[in-house]
Amino acid sequence: MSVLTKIRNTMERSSSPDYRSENDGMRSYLKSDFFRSMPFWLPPTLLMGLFVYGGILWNFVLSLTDFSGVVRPEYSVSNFDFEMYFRMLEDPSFWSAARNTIVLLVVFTLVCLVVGLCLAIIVDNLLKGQGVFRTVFLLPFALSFVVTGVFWQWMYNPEMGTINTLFDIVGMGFLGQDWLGDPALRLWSVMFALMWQFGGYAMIIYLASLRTIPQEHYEAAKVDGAGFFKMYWKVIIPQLSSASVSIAVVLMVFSLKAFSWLYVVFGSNPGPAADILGVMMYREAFAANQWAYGAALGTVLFVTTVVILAPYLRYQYKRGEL
Amino acid sequence: MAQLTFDDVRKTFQEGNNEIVAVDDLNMEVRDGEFLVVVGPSGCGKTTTLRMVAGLETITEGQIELDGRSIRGMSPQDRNIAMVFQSYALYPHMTVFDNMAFGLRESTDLSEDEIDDLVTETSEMLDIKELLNRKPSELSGGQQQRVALGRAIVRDPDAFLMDEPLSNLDAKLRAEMRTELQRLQEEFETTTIYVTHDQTEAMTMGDRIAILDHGELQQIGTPMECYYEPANEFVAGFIGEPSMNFLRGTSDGGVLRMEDFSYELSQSTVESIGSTTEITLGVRPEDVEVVPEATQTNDVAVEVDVVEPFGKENNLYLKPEGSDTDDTIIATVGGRKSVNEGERVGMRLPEEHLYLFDRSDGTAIRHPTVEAEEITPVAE
Repeated sequence: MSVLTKIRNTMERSSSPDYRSENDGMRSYLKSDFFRSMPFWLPPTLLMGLFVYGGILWNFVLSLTDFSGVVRPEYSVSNFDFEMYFRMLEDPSFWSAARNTIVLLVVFTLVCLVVGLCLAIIVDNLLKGQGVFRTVFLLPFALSFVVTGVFWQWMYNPEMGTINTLFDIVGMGFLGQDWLGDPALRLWSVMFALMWQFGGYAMIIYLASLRTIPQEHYEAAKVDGAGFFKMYWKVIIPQLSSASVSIAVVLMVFSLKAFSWLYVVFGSNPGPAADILGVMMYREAFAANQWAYGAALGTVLFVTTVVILAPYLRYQYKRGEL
Repeated sequence: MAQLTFDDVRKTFQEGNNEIVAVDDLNMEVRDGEFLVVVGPSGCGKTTTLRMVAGLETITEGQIELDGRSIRGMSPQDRNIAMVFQSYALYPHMTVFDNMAFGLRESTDLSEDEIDDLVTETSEMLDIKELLNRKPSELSGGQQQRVALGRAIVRDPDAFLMDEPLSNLDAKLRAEMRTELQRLQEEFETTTIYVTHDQTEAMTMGDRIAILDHGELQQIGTPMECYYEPANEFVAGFIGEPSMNFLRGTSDGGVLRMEDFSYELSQSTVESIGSTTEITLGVRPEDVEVVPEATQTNDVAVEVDVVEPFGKENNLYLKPEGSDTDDTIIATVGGRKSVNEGERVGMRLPEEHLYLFDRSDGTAIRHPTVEAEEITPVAE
C-alpha cells in the first residue's frame, strides 16, 4: 500500500461519526492553547514551585520542629508545635530586631520618597545637565549592597573616615561622631547610607512620572494663581500617587532585604541598636545553629513581606496592570 | 473687564544658533469687552501671542498692557487672567467642584462659603451642577469642556484667553458650544482673546478677527471686512470656505492676460491698477457664475472636472478648455443645479466681484464694488 493510500484511509476513518466521537475530547484537548503552550510555562512553573514555594513551605515546616542542628529534624506531625513562635515573643532581641525593622521600613521609605521627589522636581526644572544629574543620582542604585557597605564603613570611620575628616576641614570637628559605633546613631547612619543608595531610584521613577503630566496642568495652575510650591503641592504631587505607591513597595522590600548591607558592615551581630529580623534570622540559623528558630523568623519575615505586597498587587490587579 | 494693548510685541525663540521669530512687531488693541479671534495657520504665532498675555511666555521686546499697566515680567498669578486650554487641562485628581474652586482659593481671599456659592452659581449657568462631585475622567469631552469654561468664568477675570478650546469636540458639539460661548461672552462682556485655526469659528464668533501669518499681523477687522475687503492675498485666501480662486495674470493695457484666457477690464478697474503689471486676480467660488455656454466677452469655455455635492450647494472644479495644467477654478452653485463631470459649460467672472492683488507683495489693489444689501422690512 502506498503512503498516499494510507493517508487517505486514515482520513476517511477519522471522518466517520463513530471514530470522531471517541477522539473529540482528546483532540480538542491536544489542540487547546493550554496544552500547546505547556513547553513554555511548565518548566519554569515546576522550577519556581520546587525551589521557591517549596522552599518557603519547607522553611515553615522546619519552624514547627525544634531542629537545632545536632540531630536530623523530625518531620512528624506529633512533633510539630509553635514553640519557636512563642519563644520569639519572650526574646528581647526579637523585639529590638522587630522594632528596628519597622523603623527602617517606615522611616527609610518615607525619607527616600521625600528625597527622591525633591530631587526629581529639581532635576525636572533644570534647563541643562538633566542627563548628568540623573546618572549621578541613580548610580549608587546600580552598586551592590556589599560595595556600598564597605564604602560607607570607610566613610563613617571615626578616625580617618571622610565624614569626620570633612567636618575637621571646615572647622566643625565637634560634629564628628562615631557614626556606626554609637548605638544611638547606628540605625540612623544605616538609614542615611541606604537613603543615599535608593534616593536615586525614587528620583528616577518620580521623574518619569512627572514627565507624563501634561505641561498644561502646570500652566493652568499658574494661571489659576498658584505659586511654585502650591502648584506642586496641590496639582502635581497628588498626580504622582501611583508612582509613590510602587516606589514605596519596592523600597520596603529592599529595607527588609538590607541584610547584606548590615552583614558586610557589622557581621552577624550588629547589636540591638541596628539588628533587623533578616540579620537575626541568619544569626540564629547559621551562627547559633538554632535552625528551627531561624526558620520561624524567616516565616515572620515572609508574612511581613506578603502583607506589604498583597495590597499593592491587588491594587495593580484591579487597575488591570497585572 | 479690561482693554489689552500690544505695543511692538516681538517674541523670538533660540534654537541652537538660530533665532526663530514667532511674533514680529505685533501692534493691536483688544477693546474692553470685545471678543477678538486670532486666526492663522499652524506656526503663525497665534498661540505664542496668547501665552505671552497669560504670562506663560516671556516677551522678547515691546509691551503688553492690560488697562494701561504693563504686564511684561508680571507672573501669571498676578495678572487676573483666565485661560481655557485646548486639552482642557482639568486636574484629574480633583472633583469638578475643586477644579472650579481651585483658582478662587489660590487667587482670592473669599471664604469657603462664598466660593461654594460662586461655583454652584456658575455650574448652574453652564448646566453642570449635577457633575460637581465627579472626577474629570468620568466626564464626556463636552462636559469636560464646560468644566474648563466654568473654571475660567467662576474667577470673573479681567480677560479670558482661549486656546482652540473647541478643537477636541465633534462637529455637532462644536457648533453648539460655539453658540454657547458667544452667548456667555455677550452675557459677561469680558474681554476675550480666542485663538483658532478654524476660519469658520473666526467668522462666526469674533467681534473682530486678527489674522496672523509667520508671526506678522496681516489684518485686524470685523469678519465682514476681512471677508469682503481683505488687506492682502493671504487674508483673502485664508478667510472663506472653499478658498478664493487665484489666477496669475499680467496687465496689458485694458486686458488682463492669464495663462489660459484673457479678461477685458473696465476703465475704472484699469485706473485702480495704475502702473502695476504683475497681477493676481481673485474671485470667490460663490461669485463664479456657470452658464450653459460662453457667449459674452469675458466668458471662458470650461470643462467640469469634479463635482462635490454638499446638498444645499455643489462645488464645481472647472478647467478652462485647452489648459495644459491641472489647475482648476472652484465655483459654488445651487445644490439643485444638475451638472455632470465632463460636461462643457461657460464660466463667467463678473467684474464687480473681482479682487485684484499686486503680485509683488500680495497687497489688495481692488475689492469688489458690490454694495452691501440691506434687508428692508416690507411696508405694511
